[in-house]
Formats: sequence, structure tokens, C-alpha cells
Amino acid sequence: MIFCRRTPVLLLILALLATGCSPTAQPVSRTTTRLLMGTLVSITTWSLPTNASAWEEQERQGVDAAFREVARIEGVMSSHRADSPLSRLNQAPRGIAHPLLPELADLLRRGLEVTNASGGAFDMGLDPLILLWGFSREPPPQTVPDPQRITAWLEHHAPGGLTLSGTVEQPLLRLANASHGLDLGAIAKGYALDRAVAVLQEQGIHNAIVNAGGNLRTIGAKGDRPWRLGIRHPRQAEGVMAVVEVDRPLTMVTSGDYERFFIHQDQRYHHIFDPRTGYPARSGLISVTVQAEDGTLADALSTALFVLGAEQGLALLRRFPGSEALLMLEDRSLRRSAGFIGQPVAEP
Amino acid sequence: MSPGRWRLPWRVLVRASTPGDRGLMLASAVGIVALGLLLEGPPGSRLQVFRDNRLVATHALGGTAGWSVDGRLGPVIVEIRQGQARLREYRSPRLIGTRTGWIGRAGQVAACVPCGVLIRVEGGPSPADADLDAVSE
Repeated sequence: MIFCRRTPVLLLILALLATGCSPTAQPVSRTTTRLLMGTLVSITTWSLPTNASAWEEQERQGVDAAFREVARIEGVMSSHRADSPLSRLNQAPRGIAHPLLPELADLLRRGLEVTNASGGAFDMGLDPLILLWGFSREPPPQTVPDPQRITAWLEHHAPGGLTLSGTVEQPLLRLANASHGLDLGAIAKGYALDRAVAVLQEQGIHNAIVNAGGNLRTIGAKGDRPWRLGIRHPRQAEGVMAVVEVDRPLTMVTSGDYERFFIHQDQRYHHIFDPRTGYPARSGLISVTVQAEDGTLADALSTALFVLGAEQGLALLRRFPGSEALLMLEDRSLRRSAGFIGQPVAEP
Repeated sequence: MSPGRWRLPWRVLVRASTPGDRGLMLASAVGIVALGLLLEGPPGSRLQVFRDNRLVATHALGGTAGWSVDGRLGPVIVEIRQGQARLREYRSPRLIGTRTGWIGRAGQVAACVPCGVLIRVEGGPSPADADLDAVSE
């Protein structure tokens, strides 16, 4: 091998550069995880460690504040906690308007926009049906409930069974009958993402990912490169079906038939219900990922699209400008809206 | 092989290479180790145990240890062995925490959500260039 005097030094520098070991301080990302809203909630931040201790303390306080906000939302909107404001509404007599928190009313109002636009495919009043199927319990169910009970539920569960009235400051909610009960499982995590990110920004954190059970919201970027996100493949436990690189505020919510399900007589029964049938949605889709800047909207739309199926779902999406979707059909083919960010990963 | 037997191949290696070659080999070895750490995350040094998001215990990952945490559904066993840790729940319906298996890299987490018990390996910040930053599911 022919060397000049400087060759070893040059090679050493090249080798270090090739392995990412630059002589300057490396940026770091930190992830903190907590159990909230019945799932794992993680906050990942990106920062430069140059002004280490002061910034780390500010960052820690900001992340703690964001987690407190998520915990507060859980305390208000959980249907599992008997003392939550939402549970008290579910325990109240039906057919009468009851006062509720303005924050809760505002979220319901936003959800009802998706309910109306989707023709009832997105429904926040499914608590009795979810209890009937048992998907909110541990362990998850293994059998289908008595079909007569589902039929009885369906007879009384009409669109418009959830009515908001009153004023912005003193809102009222009326649940029509016992077939209607609040469950915000298809919208509250998206709202929590929005609030957590707002708190992070108030605290001076501008590069972060909030991950609430696989529902993601990003702000900023990872230094000079975008955040790199995966979308879980619905039939490969450890695989991803697409990779998304993003360096701006974006929420990405995925609804699929693989999170909570059981197989009964060769039929898959999952936890996303079609309110029009009382059974798990069978729309030809097995996974829906919605991207939007607004987490609340993205969360609601992902469920609505899953229930509606590809054609009606993409038509619904067009009514909410700025929202995009990637759909995987039962035959594992993909459909996407024109502005969806990301690249599918080839299946092995 | 006795120490003396190493001398011959070492001398052959020294004679057959220039200082530049040896520098390159050293740099490559350092690079391979650094790349491994970047891809997998640095090894953890201690374990944090949370019950309902409250830190209830911190333990060095070295040595062997085991103890029980009162989970919502019953006891959850936390074990440490050879720089790794795992949790084992007995009454959780799906045993997702147990199925996670041994964890030992900084930032890795195992949790039993119904039990309210989470363990996390600490050991400095996680690498800035891991392949994916998060997965939507």
C-alpha cells in the first residue's frame, strides 16, 4: 500500500466521519415514557447538549408539564374512571340535558362535525356497544356476544342520539337513551396530542414527537434532518409498511384491525365498530393512517375512514382540506390520497 | 495458546503493514463499535421501575437481583441479570410485559399496562440517529 505522510491522518478522519463520529458535540434525543390513557405515552425531544444543564432542566420541566396535561385530559375524558366528568354523564339519566365541561363540549362539537360529514360512521356514543362486546375489558373477549343483544342495541341507537345545546360557557348534553353512552376512545388521544404539543411549545420545546399509543404528533425536526416515522404493517408484528419523513407539525394516526381482536370461527373480530351494524367494521380495509396537522381531526378521521372503506373514506377526506390518508386493503394493496407524505416499504 | 505463540503472527502483521495500515485498522475497529452503538443504543447502566408513573425503585444493571412490585392485578417480578432486566407478570391477561423479554439498551422499555408497572433502562441519552424515531400503529 502506498502512503504519503498525511495519509494515515486523512484516513482516520475519513473513518470517523464515515461512522458519524464528528469531533463536535452530537445532538441527542431523549424519550420519556409513562402509562397514561390506558397505553404508553412517550415524548421524544431533540436538542443540542451544548448548554447542557440549564436546557436539560427546562426540557425536563416542559416534558413533565406535557405529561401532566395528558393525565388531566385522561381524568376528564376517561370512561374507565367512575369519577371522571365523562363517566358521570354516562351515569346520568337519559333523555334529559345535563351540564358538562366546556372543554368536553368543545371536543364533542368537533367530533360531531366528523360524525355528520361521515353519515354517522364516526360515533362517540358507542360506550354501551363496546361494553357489550367487552373490548374495554382485560382480558379481551374471545366470543361474539348474543346477536339478539346487538340487535336490541341497534334498534335504539339512532343517529342524532347525542345532542349538544346551551351556550359556550354553559353547555348541555343530552343522550337520547341507554343505547347511547360516551366513549371518546377514537378522538381523545388525538386531542391529548394537540394539548401536549401546545404545552411543550409554551415551555420552549420546538423539536419533539408525542406518541400516545402509536398516535404520533411531531413538531420541528431532528436537527438538520426530518423526523423519521414508521407506519406499522398490520400483518407483520415487527414490520412497517411505510416510512414518513417530516420536518413540520404533523399528526399521524393509524387505525387497524390488529390491535385488539380475536378470531372466532375463522372470522376476525376487532375493536373498531360500525355503528350502523353493531359489529366490527368490514369495509375492506385493514389499516388506515391519517395525516393532518390537527391531532383531534386526524384521530376522528382515521376511525371514520376505516368504517367507511376506501371509496367513501377518500371522499370524506376531501371534505377536510389538509388531511391525507394511506389505506391498506384486505388484499394488502395500498391506496393513498395525493398529498400523503411517505414512501411504502416493499414487502419481503 | 501460550502468550509466546501470539508473538509470531503479531510480528508478521507488523512487518506486513505500514503505520498507516494499522491506523486504518484501528479506525475501522472504532468505527464498527461506534456504528453498533448508534444502531442499537448504548448499553444501559441502571434500571428504573415505575408504578403508576411514580418512580418506585432504581437499581444498577450490574449483578443479579430480583424483587416484586405490587401491580394493580397482583405482583410483578422484576429481574436483573448480566446487564439486562425483564419483568414478569402473572395475572395480566396478555402478558405483554413478559413477552417483551430481556432489555438492556438505554431507552428500552417493558411495561404491563393493566398492572401499571413499567421498567425503563437508563444510561444516558439515546442515539440521535436511530433508524426510526417513532412508529404509528
